Amino acid sequence: MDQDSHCEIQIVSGAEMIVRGAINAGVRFYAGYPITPASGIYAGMMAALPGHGGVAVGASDEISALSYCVGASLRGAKAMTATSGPGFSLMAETIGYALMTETPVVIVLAQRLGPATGAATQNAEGDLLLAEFSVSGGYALPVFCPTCPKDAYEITVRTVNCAEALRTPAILLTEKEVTMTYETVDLHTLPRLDIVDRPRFSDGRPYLTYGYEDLCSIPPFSPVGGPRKVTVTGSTHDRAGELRKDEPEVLGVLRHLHAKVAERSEELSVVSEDWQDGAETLVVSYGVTDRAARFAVREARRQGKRVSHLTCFSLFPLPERALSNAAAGVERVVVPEENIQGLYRRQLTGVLGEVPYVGVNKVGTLITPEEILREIR
Amino acid sequence: MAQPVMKKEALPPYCKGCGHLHVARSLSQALERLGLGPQRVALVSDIGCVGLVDSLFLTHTIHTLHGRSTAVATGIELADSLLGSSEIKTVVMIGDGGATIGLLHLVEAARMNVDITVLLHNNFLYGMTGGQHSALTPLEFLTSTTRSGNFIPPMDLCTILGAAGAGFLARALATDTALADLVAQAIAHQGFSLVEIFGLCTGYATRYNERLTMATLKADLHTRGILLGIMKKEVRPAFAELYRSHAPSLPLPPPPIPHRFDHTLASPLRLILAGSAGEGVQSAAYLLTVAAALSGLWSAQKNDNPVTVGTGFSTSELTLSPEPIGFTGVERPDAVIVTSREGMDRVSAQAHAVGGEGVLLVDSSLPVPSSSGRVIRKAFRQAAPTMPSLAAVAAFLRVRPLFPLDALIEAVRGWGRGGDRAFRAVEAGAAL
Repeated sequence: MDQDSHCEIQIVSGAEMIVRGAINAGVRFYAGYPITPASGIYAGMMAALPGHGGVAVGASDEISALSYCVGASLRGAKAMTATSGPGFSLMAETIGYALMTETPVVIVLAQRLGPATGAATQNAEGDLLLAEFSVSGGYALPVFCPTCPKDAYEITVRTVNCAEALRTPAILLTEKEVTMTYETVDLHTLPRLDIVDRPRFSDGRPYLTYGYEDLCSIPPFSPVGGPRKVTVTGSTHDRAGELRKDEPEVLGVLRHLHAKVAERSEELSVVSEDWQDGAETLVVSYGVTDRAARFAVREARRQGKRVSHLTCFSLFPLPERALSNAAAGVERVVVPEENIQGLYRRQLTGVLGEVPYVGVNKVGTLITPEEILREIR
Repeated sequence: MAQPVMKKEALPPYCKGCGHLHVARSLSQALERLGLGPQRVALVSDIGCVGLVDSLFLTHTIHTLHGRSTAVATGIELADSLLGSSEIKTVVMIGDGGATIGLLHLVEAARMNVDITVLLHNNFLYGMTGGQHSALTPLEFLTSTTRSGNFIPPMDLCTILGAAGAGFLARALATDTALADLVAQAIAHQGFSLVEIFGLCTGYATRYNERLTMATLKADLHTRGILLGIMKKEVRPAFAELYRSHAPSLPLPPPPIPHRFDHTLASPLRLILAGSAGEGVQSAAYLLTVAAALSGLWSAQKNDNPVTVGTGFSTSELTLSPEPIGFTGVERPDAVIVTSREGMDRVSAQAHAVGGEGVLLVDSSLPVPSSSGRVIRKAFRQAAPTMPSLAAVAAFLRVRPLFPLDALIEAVRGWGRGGDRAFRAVEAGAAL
């Protein structure tokens, strides 16, 4: 390592990098409940947020934690909470409420082995579908996923920015092997990122709580307690926020909730492309398993195999253009994930076209480079 | 002259004689008496007929999920008082259902003394869903689900919340002429306040219970010993005040780790430390990674332990490398350092997997593991009874001098924990 005065070497955990990213992205309200492997984020925010002029509180349970965050966000604060599978399950209804009310909020889902209580101190990548599809109606929810403590910083900032820009709940999906792994990081090399705030209402026209112009545009925000009446409800509503049952405007609002996220898959896409000309195999990976995939790809090329690699830091909306570009011309797609069912692999049907895809799936230990290499023909 | 807070032309979505409308009008009068214009009020309503009051108000209105009104209100108020300058008053309209599902949110808001006012519309059943019984239904009361009379006594919210630390608690009838004044007092109270307001559900309660009128209700409450009026009025610091005076100051960022020593690694080294909880296994591993960073090496540390944390095994898997680390798994360790039986049981497979070039450093109290690697047994537990792992790490550096022992000593110095024992453990381990 070439340490000089332009270095800032620290040993940090993924949890600490998520805390750093959240604070730098402007999060000033945190409510949490401890759960392995997310507790480091809770403890980190409790220690650091007050000194940055923010509020960090412990809640009695996960439903309270997220509900406090929703309230704070309605009042105008950038808000975040962190949990694992069991806590996320409790938060499901409130996530739907945040989506329905277009309330920006970030939920960190630090995965552990499930189902139910599962194994608190054991890694897994099994909550992908829980993250994306817990909301009734299957409305699009942005889900981002880092691969290591270092990129957890940038991905956290992007997740906060996304929640704010789109006025939506956004999930930062991560796992024990990231949050609780300590690694050497040169903090000096962390990217400098623009911070995005929710669009604020400022013109003289009458304010509509959900006054979007086009289906995909984001309605300007005015805080509860601000100068314009804010009307919020979890019921179906019109653009003014008034409860309505099934009028055309209501149905339009529902389509808007989905379109504003789903139509932005290109804008929200965060991927790393490592293409090789004439590649016969494409490896698509995310989370800590991506690190084994990189190793495997490097080794495969050393052995003369032709393989491309796509790392997905944004999992939903599916980075469709990047996926179909990467798969163009390959004969086989390999998707390694630390879950038994091959959860992300099954989502790629339709995007990858006719290309056959195969999974590398297990739980209990990290997927190894060798296990992935075996599938790169 | 205060701005009106209720919409003049709004049609109340209520049955004739419904208690909710009385409460809504009393709130409106209370807000006007307090000079609170609609911009300065956040009205958070729960699910049920009670929740529909939002359609009547010009204030900010937030209609939440069932039971969660108090929790969302808590979030609004915390942001208002701690991230803003307490510009608004937050009022919760909640009924039987919300108060039961969301009982914990009420208890917490009371305990934390969050500055919100809860108006509990107790009409003894769940109106919107068709008149089912609730946890507030009196004994013998008839509802759609207690056709022969309710046989489980109701809970007393005021008593429960009083025990939780609520500072302002009151009970009233929905038709009380003094209700607006009582509500105003509750709103003006600094900290959590709740007014339980008994009213009639003329859609179901009065249909099932023909005797039920405001007069018989009043008499009934009296018979049951439920007193109307202010039950408790105590001022104690609200949450925001307590938070501000107890908030920790910004922690000092740790200084960057400088490059002070030289290392001898040409390629990544993977090792496992294993022992028992409470013996500093994971700390020893951490100190080794700091020593590595002081010597210009990258590292990755992954810990494992059972859910019990304080008992059972404790392991750390480490990778030390002259280059940034990719895969962090340690399948074929170059070294395994074991200082307890529990540790050995946990990593026996990995110990066995150590190849001919590898080394096993094992406490002399443990049986010799079968392995192709070089086995070295030393009395770590004897040399450093509270930190055998750290002693073992120091001994390891003698066997494989990745970097000078001074780097480890420097790491211990920077750690600032473990006191003298940590230095002595390093010394003792190196001397073995």
